[in-house]
Amino acid sequence: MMLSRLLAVTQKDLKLLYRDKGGFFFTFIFPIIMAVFFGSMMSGGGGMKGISLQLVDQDQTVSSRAFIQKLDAADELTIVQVDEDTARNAVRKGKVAAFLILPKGFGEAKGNLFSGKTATVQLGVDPKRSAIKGLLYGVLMNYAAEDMQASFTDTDKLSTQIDQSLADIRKAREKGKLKDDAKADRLVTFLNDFQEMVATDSFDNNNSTTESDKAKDNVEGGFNGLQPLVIETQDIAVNRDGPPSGYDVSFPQGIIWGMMGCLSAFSLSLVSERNQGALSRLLISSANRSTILAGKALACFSTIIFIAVSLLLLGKLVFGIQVRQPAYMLMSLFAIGFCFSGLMIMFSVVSKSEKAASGITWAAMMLMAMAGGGMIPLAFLPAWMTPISQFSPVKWSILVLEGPMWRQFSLAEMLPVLAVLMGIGLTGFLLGVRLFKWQGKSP
Amino acid sequence: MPDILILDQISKQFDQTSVINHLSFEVEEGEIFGLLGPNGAGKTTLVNIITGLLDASAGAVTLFGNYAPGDAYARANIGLASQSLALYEDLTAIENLQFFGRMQGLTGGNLDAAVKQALAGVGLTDKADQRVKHFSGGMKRRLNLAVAILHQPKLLILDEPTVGVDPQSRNAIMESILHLRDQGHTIIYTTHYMEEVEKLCDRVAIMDKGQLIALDSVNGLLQAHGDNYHIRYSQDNQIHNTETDNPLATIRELLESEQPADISSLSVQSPTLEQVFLNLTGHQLRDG
Repeated sequence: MMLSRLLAVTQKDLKLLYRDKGGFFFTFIFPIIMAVFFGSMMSGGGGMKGISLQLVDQDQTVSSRAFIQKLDAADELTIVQVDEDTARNAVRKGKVAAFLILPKGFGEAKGNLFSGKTATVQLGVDPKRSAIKGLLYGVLMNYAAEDMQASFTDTDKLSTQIDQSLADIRKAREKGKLKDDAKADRLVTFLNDFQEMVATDSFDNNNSTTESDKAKDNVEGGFNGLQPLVIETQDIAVNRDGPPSGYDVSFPQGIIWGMMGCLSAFSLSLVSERNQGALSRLLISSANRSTILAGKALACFSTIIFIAVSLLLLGKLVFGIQVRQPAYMLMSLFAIGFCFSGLMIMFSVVSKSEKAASGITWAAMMLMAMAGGGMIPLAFLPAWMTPISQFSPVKWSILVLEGPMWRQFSLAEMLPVLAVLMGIGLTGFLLGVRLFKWQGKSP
Repeated sequence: MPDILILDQISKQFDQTSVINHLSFEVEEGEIFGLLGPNGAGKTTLVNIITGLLDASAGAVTLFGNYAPGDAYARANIGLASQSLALYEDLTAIENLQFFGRMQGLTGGNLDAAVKQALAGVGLTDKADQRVKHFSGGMKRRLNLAVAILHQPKLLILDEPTVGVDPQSRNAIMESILHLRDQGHTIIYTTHYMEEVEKLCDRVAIMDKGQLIALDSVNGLLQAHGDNYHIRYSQDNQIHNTETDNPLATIRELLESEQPADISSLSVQSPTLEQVFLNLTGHQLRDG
């Protein structure tokens, strides 16, 4: 019988909510607008130039700077130059897709084609992002090959490189560092012959297009075995403390706004029931006070769950957000539903008029939302607000939603947050019931 | 007739302000008991104490023989049609009745039958599926009454049930109340409309400033505290007024002593509860 009464209150409150246009908007529509609007804002709306790449120039030579300039001009990449630690941390935290280090000797190897050294770079990428890794590999090789091709087609550069190589061999021979003199002799002969060929008109780029094309073909054919760039890749395990997209931040926020709308609608309903006399009628009926409040809390709870599940589904199907730990998400939804239902009961009994209830409830929720990351994501809040945010249920609610989505909380990380939310809900419920019983006997 | 309700020295104070002072009376089973008094007399506070919505500061309330207000048995056997319209405007009439019926423990076929009967009792069967917000004031009052009688309570408390309604709805409500009395319900009827009390109530308690001023049947009150009958007649184009406690004798004397053909008009005004109230308190009932 008690369950029947409890469900009667729940059904009645749900009907009233769905028939109240204002309440329906703030509970169901506004959170979706919030989630989509802020999600698209935070996602940048496609304004990004390309793959974000943090670049470390340890070589600091003309050659390395020229290579960086070339990458910077590339449409596929967005380059930011930083130091190595910053670059590694940025990839580790998932802030950028990859880092690229041009180590010492990069310029020397690049400027000396026949020294036997190949320019080497270090590419750090999240191993899970193999597509980006492949894309970067291709882009870097392409630009290095273009550089090499330019070296062969620029006779002055090529002549300088040949001279540099002959000088290096000579120095090595004088210092007795050459292990295979016969091989060195063959290389010197080849370089001298090549130098002569470069000096002829046939190797001049300023000649006709046909001649130039022939020369180019010769170079590509003759030096096909030369490698333009050695890319040493490093797998950087990403600590997923950053959201994959803006929607992964905005949808938890949207859910919280839905819950706040729900809290407001249901707490106001109790106040208006009191003022219209319906509550008095309920209080003298066979139902007891706890049943009335529990029925209302159940209506609030089920609406919260409905909103959260709907938003998560919408986010997944349309905006690609992911819930990586569904079991944890279920726990999160239960805890948040309990927390906000408890708060609803508390707010519903602290005010006597609907205007006061509306004002107090929204003022309190605004403060909680501002401090807890409901308006501006927690990561963007100033440091001095961090301690304040600890007191906001919104902060814990967002955290417990993000946990199973992209923070990948362990159970040990989830439990304290769940406990905080359940504690807030229980406190709100007990306080509300206490005040409700006390108020029942006052004018 | 056994007493359905016994009030024994009930007092209520709010912040040192006394709202009810040492009020005592009994309500018998099957009667319509009127609580007559101006606004602010303490009628609604008394109703809230009887229903258990408020605790009395002093005194005792006994319901149905040996139950206190708020006891499960008492709550199951009291119906309240409060002064404010205790209805959900966004629900239909039938949804309101179904909800409050379930809260009173009615389910299934019993609930359906009770809802049907209550709607018929107040003449709203054809409006069952309309949302209450589209109802007139009178229809809302009738639905308010229907909700109160839904679970067939032994004691029905009607707190100013005709406030703000049109004469037609008022008559319909009063007819329904008389019908309920005939069915055996005990009714406490609070109002500041003396005409309703005169028409409906078997006994009347007159309250003013939280105190019980008088308690008796309507006739008893009129006889004990009312004025004399006022007789007014015109003779030879002159108006004459006279007072008497025996109007028939006075008129007979008048007709015998004067030339009846000279009397062009004659009217008799009965004593009213308004006068009773004025005589008892020194101020008008509607002055408050």
